[in-house]
Amino acid sequence: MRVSRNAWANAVACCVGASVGRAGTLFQCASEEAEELRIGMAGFTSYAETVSVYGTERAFIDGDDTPWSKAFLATAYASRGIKMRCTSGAGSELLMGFHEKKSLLYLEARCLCLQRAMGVQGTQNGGIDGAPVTATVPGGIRELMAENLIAVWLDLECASGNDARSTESEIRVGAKILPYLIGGSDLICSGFGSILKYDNSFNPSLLNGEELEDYLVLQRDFEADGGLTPIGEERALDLRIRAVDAISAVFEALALGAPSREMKESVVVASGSEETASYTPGEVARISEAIRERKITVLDVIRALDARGFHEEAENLLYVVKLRISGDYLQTSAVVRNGRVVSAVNDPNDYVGPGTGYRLSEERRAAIAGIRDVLDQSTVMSQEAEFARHVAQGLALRGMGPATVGTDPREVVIGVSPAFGLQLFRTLSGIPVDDLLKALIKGIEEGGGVPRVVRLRHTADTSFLGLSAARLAGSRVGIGIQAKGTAVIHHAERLPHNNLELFSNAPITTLKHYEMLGYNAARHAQGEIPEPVVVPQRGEALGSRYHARVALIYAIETGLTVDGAEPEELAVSFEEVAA
Amino acid sequence: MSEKLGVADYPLAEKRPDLVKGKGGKPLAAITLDAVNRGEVSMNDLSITAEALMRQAQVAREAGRATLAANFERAGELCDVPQDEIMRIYELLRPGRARDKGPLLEAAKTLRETYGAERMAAFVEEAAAVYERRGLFRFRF
Repeated sequence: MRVSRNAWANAVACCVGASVGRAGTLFQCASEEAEELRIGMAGFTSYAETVSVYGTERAFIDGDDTPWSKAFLATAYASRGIKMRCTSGAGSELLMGFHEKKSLLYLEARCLCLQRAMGVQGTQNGGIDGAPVTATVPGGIRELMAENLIAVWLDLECASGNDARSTESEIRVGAKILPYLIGGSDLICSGFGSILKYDNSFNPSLLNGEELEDYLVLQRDFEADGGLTPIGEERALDLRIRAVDAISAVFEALALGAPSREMKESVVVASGSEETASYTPGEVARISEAIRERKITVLDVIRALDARGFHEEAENLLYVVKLRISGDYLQTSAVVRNGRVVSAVNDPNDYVGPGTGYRLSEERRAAIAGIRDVLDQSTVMSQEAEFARHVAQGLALRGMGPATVGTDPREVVIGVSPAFGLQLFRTLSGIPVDDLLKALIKGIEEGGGVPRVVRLRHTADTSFLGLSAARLAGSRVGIGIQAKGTAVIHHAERLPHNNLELFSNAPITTLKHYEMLGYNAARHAQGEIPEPVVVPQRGEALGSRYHARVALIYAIETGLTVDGAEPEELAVSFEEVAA
Repeated sequence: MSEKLGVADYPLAEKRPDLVKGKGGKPLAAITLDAVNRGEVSMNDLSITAEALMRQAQVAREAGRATLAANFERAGELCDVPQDEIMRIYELLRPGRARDKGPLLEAAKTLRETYGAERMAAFVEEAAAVYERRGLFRFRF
């Protein structure tokens, strides 16, 4: 929320949005203390945070509070059945407590002790918005971790302030959460900042909307439950459409606004505010003012939802508001999971080191492993088939029976892999296999050689493809090539993995390189030692980008191998295909 | 509220729904969407009671959280104190709002005599004594 006058509209939107999909999402709308309490009283929020405490009396007074006024506020929230946690962190100690000449950790420890003494159930600490300055001093990062540890020792709910991005270095961000991932404690960071960095009116979080996929993969890789469950694109879109329709219906029913179709559609697909064509902050301020002035409560919103056909959402919202009657969620670390309040009372933290505490169930492990866009063999096959239909129709490879050993001393044999042009149709750099073959043949001819193409089915390994081709060639020099573009120039007298030239970086190998490869093979055939072709690479992380695909492609190649299969002569013809 | 509750009774809404009622006296089961639609549910029905907070205090104390329990007990005393009065006393407790301990002691008296909030009264009196000792009554703006 960038404009504090938008608080009421924001709270209503959040409570409606939180009721879509499932019940039990507790949320807060941080605002000026008195306003925040009023919003909670109207039933729109279930939770209050950013109630800041400080490590020294002087810093407290600069914050316009005292330990007693803050403790009074904590009691006031509890008296209204609203969950609350405090906020503290080393950065503010450094800024506000500079002249105390005490260590950051000492001052923060005082904050945490005070929170416990006040009878607050939890804290949001670990630097918070001061984390960037804390991270600039020796020991700062370790201090942030120590803050979290003290909070746990003091038996406080700890929404660790790992959520403030303390650095612009991706490596330092990763390094900061790694100990938590390894330690296997319940705490990785305070939560996930699902909004984009530019929409965060504080500091960006350590992990923002931009890093959603990374976060989901980290959960999977480290078997760390960060609280998020991957869902499919369609389900996400359905929920977003439902949420936008729900809040629009509430606005219309309560005569607060009538969002147009364009406004709604822009919000459904937007990642951040820059992509939305919705209300301006000024318009939202007027809606917000109307909610406050007309004393609209959560009961009005529940009735509006139900009247407009959002029955499930109305039930979900009522469920959350009813939670405050028993006060169960006021206990330490309370959350709602599957319709149950779970807190440190009925699910105490029994973490005492790696391997203890909360562990993933099989069901939960499967859920977090279900990340999106997983590449499997059928995906690769259908992508290849799609490509073949559009691009590689120009190639005809006709089997002509068993291949014989050639006699022409200028002959260079090209040995293609089992799936080449049959199930796989392009190299990792995207070159269609017909263009690839053309380039090789052209290069051989320009080098004074005579090309001949055979298919090898007893192996898919580049070295053996090359060696087998060489042994069929009149010149004793052959080329082995896989459909993915990995190629080798080989000689019949050499050991399998001791070739003449290897072209292993298929993703960055171009047609020109393949042409030069053919040329060099022809020169080798004539007993020359040509200058090897160098495919220049610039440190691209080829492995990380292509290995999964390569593994699947290679499995397609090896799936077609037959033990002892004889080489087959191929008649190659190229046809012009209309683009 | 003679029965003493503990960790085994938690969550109360699940384990002891017989004990859970809003300020208007309605049990959880009576607060349905139909009742809301018929206009039979007010914000008062959705408000926590002093009794509920005292019960949560018992649970918290048995779970080893004495200070959390004490806060719930203080909160129980504030349940029936009007919002404006709460905000007025909060404002008085902020630094420099009161010029001396007089207004704080007056607020403590109101809490004790009007609302029967003994713990809260003692809390505000403690604050007054500390503010005086630490010179927090000085004017700031």
